[in-house]
Amino acid sequence: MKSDPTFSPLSEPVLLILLSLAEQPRHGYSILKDVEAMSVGRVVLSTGTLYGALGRLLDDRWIERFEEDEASRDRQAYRLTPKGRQNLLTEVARMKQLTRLAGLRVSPKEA
Amino acid sequence: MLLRLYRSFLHLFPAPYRSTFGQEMNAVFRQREADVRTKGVFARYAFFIREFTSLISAAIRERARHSEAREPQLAAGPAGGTYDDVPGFYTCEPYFPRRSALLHGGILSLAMFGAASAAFEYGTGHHLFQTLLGGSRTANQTQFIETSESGFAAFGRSVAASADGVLMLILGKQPATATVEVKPGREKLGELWSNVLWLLRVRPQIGAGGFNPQDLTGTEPEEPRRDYTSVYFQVMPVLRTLDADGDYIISAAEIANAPSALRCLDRNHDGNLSPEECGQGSAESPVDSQSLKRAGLEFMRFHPVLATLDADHDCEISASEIQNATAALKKLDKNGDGKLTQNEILPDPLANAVFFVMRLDANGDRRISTDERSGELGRRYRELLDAADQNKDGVVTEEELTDEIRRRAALTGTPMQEQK
Repeated sequence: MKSDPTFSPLSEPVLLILLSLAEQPRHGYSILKDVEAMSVGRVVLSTGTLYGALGRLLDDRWIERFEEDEASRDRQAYRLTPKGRQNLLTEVARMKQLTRLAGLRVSPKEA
Repeated sequence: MLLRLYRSFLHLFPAPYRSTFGQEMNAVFRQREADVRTKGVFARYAFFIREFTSLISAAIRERARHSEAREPQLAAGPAGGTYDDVPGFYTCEPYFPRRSALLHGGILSLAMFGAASAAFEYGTGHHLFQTLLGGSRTANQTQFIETSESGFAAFGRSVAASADGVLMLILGKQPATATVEVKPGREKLGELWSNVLWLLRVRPQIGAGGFNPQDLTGTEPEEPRRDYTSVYFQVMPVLRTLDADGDYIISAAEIANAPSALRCLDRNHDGNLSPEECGQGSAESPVDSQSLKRAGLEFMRFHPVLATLDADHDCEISASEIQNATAALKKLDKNGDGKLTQNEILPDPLANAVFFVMRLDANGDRRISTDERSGELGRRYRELLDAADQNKDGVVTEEELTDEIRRRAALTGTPMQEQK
């Protein structure tokens, strides 16, 4: 599957949200806690930021909502779509390339 | 309380967004708020500030996104796009008010129009409407019109009195008169508007060139003169009778013929001339005989010609006084030219003003009490009487009233003599 041609670098909160959902489907509060844990408390999302990002990811079909068993309306779960997973992989690959490049350019000078 | 505040802030978001995420956001906020409860005050404040500021900024972003999402639907073109890659433009505003908005606007407009009409119609008892716009409800009622407009300074601060539908005004330095003709059935709202139009029509005529009475009435030049003197002669049967040739001057011959002329006014053939026969108007409402007598005395005392003819001041011109009318009238000829001109006949404007306002004095004590001011006429003169009541005791004496009218006349340049 091809990645989205309109794909552009992701912001850190969005990347963390996608990474959180990449592991397993989660609901909103769980995403917040996971993002906070992944960033070691550095990124603390507010509900406005979280659901703003989720709304855009839903519109772009990178994620989808689904109903968990015995879940109420205020506990909708989210999971990555294949498109979203592909874009996440693309972004991670881009970041790996950047990291490798940074290692090549920065490390010799430091050494 | 915070949860309630948060819920209310969610209304900042577009409705579709709110219906999709509102409950979830609320639930997550509740959980997060429970988490920070165990933390310190600083952490709690930081949480609240972060949540609400981000909520507002997110709402702004979502609203912008929502409106952007709607615009392509409104744009003309295939699938909300453009024709042949030519950008689409809006050529006209597609917005149209909702029907309910139009209905409510219409109802509101009608309500405001009704309120304004009611204020004009029924507000004549209040100072603003009464003095600025209101006229009397009946044509024969005395009018006292005031306005603070500079163009009507003299007009507004002078006394306007009516008798038989004639409105007498003192405008600037030139006494002038005008006839107010109220069409039958238009005494209320119609009269109000006619007064407004009348004011608007007269206003441009009052300028450096002085006041022309014909401008007031709108009469054609060939019609008879209508100034203060002519109207005064018309409303005073005694003068109308004495002035046989209608030149508004009582000549020597007319003075000599006064006894026989006056006898023509004796309608009841009792040999005497009562105040009514001399031109006093009848009361609009029943009054007691004492008040009637006092009003007659005032009437006979006020008009110089009648005061001269009624030598014994018994409120009627008796047969002997009629017989001596020639000699009595000659006493009014102050300049000795053998005839009576307007300066010798017309009542002093100051006395005129005081006379008409003092009609409020029901008990004849020459003071206008609070009770005597409570009627319709009193409300009309309220501003004048309030200003005249210098010691603020609620009672306006004739002296206080005279001083106030004299002060106003001085302000407007209206010449007035001392009251006799």
